[in-house]
Amino acid sequence: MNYVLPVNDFGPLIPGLAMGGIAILHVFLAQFAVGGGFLLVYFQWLAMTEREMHAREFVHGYFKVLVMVSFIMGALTGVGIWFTAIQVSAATIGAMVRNFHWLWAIEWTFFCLEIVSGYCFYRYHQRLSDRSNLVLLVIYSFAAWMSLLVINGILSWQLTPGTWLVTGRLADGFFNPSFWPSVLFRTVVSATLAALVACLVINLMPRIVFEDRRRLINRAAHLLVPMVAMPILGVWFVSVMPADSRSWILGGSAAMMLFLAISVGASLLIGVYALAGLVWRKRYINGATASLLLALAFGATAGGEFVREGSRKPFTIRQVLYSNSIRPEDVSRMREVGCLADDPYPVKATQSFATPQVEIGFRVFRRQCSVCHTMHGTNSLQHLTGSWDHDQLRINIAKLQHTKPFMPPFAGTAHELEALVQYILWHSAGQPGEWTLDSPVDSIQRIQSWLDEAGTDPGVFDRNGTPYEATGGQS
Amino acid sequence: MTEPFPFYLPEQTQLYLILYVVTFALHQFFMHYTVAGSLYLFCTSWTSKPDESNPLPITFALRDWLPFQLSAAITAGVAPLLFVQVLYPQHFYTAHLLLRGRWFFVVPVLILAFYGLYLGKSQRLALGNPGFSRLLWGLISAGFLFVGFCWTSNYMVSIIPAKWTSTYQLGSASLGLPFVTSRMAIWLGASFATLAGVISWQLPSETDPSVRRHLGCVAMLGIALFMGACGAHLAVSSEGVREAVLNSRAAVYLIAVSAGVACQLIGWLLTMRAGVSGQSTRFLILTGVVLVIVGMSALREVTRWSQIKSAALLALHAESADIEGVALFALAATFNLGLMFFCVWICRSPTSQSRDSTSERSEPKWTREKR
Repeated sequence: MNYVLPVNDFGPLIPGLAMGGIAILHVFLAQFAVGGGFLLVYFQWLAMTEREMHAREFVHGYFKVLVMVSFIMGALTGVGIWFTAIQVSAATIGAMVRNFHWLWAIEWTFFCLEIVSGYCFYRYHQRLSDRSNLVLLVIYSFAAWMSLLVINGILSWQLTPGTWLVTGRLADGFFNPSFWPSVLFRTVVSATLAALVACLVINLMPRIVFEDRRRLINRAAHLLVPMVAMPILGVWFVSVMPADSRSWILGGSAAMMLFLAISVGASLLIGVYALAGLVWRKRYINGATASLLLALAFGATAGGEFVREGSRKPFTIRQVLYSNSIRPEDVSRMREVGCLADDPYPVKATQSFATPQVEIGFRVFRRQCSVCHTMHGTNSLQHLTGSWDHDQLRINIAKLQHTKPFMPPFAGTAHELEALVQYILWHSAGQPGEWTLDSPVDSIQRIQSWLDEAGTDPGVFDRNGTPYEATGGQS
Repeated sequence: MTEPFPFYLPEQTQLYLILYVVTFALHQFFMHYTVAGSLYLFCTSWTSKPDESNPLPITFALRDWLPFQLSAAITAGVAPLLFVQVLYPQHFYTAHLLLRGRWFFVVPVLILAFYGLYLGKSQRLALGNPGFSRLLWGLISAGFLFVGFCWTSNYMVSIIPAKWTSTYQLGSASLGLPFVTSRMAIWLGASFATLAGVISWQLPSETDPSVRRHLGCVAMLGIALFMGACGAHLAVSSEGVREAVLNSRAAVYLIAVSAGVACQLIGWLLTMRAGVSGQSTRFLILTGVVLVIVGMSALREVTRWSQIKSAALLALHAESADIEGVALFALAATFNLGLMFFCVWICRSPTSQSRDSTSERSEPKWTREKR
């Protein structure tokens, strides 16, 4: 992408929050849709072979839930992700579309198949033979899982592009180092979610007596058994992550560790309860407990997705694009010509600044920082830099990728950096109408020397230990 | 002889444009039904008396099929959303970002409308209280019009790069009321014609002639609105747009649209005169609907292509075409299309209906209720 796009201001919120929220919801619903397919095939088979007297009734009720929740919310939050992703980082979604548009198109054909087979079943299952119903459900299940498989290839490529960085081949990008562990992990999660929703649905079936409900729940719990593979798949995934990304989740970032702990802890609770209680002891769970387990599963999904997204820092696509939509290969040029040289967008008519330099600082902030930071609200620069003195601000931003290795390098001139510092300080001072700051006379030269020392490469996460490997996912 | 749009462009661009137009037309087909259907139900909620035991066949078919049609419209809409990003990334993203906040409302509005359609399907809720019914269909229709307005705005902002910086600075896009209104009127007019054309297939053969004539009136009104709006839109458009649409490269699409309108008019006149519509008449109308949708989708791109610096995009398309996967896509599309037909065949196959094929479930529900 060799053009600059307009950047919107969302007040105290950062666009990433909206993206995170809608992405987590969508992943949760989409995985439920995939697992729901497996579960329905299983129960349809139980019905056909007369192993379970209420299986047919369950399939009928469960599919209604699937349509009402997943077909509607799932499909639309999927569209919502596109819209939100464009607001957050059009460059990222643009690069993903450009490199994988045929895969997206393939995924669309599976999505169409999923909807057609699903609606055929929804509308006609009561007048179709058992065999026809099974065929429709198998096709639905296959389409839903293929959809997951294709999207997983693109999403995992963002973290571990692997040899694609060298070859540029579609297969290398798709079957990247984290492809298999993540697709298997997601498949297990899908089955788990479907089983937990089943426990809730069974509790809402009015005409079934307690003992029959218990039996149905125990049947549905069979889809919880693959959870035993989760620890192995999780370790596999972590082992193929790039070393620096792994370091964020294993101690380098408190927030990442916290979210990982939430995800692991919630999964563990569900796993122990499900395997010991439902599968082994064949216990019954009521609707409230099933809801609680589902809430835990949502927490686990949210934590896991946060870790997956966050561990890519400072990139959105490893080695290809930084979080602020600047390409690594453009940093050197931008250090020469500035980050505003090709930005055609002025400040808004409603905005006013004390000095032209502060205005430039705002535009630098808008271009390089605003996707993840605000001035006063979420992840605000005022809070993050509040304890730094003026020179600390200059040196820490000039050497940003070394100050915090999950940050991208500053991509602008020394003058732009000084303007950014002025903007931050002006903001901290309450945005007065008049603004003069005793800027050291040699500040520009000092900033330039710090920028030169920092270089234009990404940060080194373990400067005194393992050297940074500029690979796409090999640790 | 002048080659029609887009066949004079490089092969890669042609491919993406054809895929975009075809998938966009498919999306339009379902979307027309959804928008016009909900507006129709909103209008009829003011005129008809609620009577649960004897719903009008058109009303019944609409309430029954609208959720599926919206689902199909959304599903079909994903592909053009993808190809527009391949074709015009900078224009699409910039317009999207300049229109900012409204996109955050599109998805919630569609979700609410979707649930609203299911609520409308429920006879007890939708017909029990006329006030509620009017409110429901009014809100659903307003939601769809809002979404349509967002997409119209996106298209219009995307083709005026010269105004992007001022739009950003001012925080709003001045699109021009006559331009937006006429454009949306084209879409609404065509939607009602499409709706009537599709519904005519969903009605049972023994449908009362007055119902078919009523449907013909809906179609005629839609076609009249469509034609009037087309003329008005051309009148308020810039010289460049008029030139592009009336250019010989776009002639084939103008002919397609005209032929489509003619097919529909003939088909509806025959239907209204006889009070019945045989399969051949319905095919004629449906062909007309498809011609209008495909022709207008292509003309939409002709206009866009004339307004933006197309040469700059050609290199981008050539680069995108270097990406592998087109053969795999063709294979997956064929395979999945086959499976989709198989699914429909399963549902229509008499051998599948072994459990209760003789029961009244196989009969259309509205006729049972009517009886």
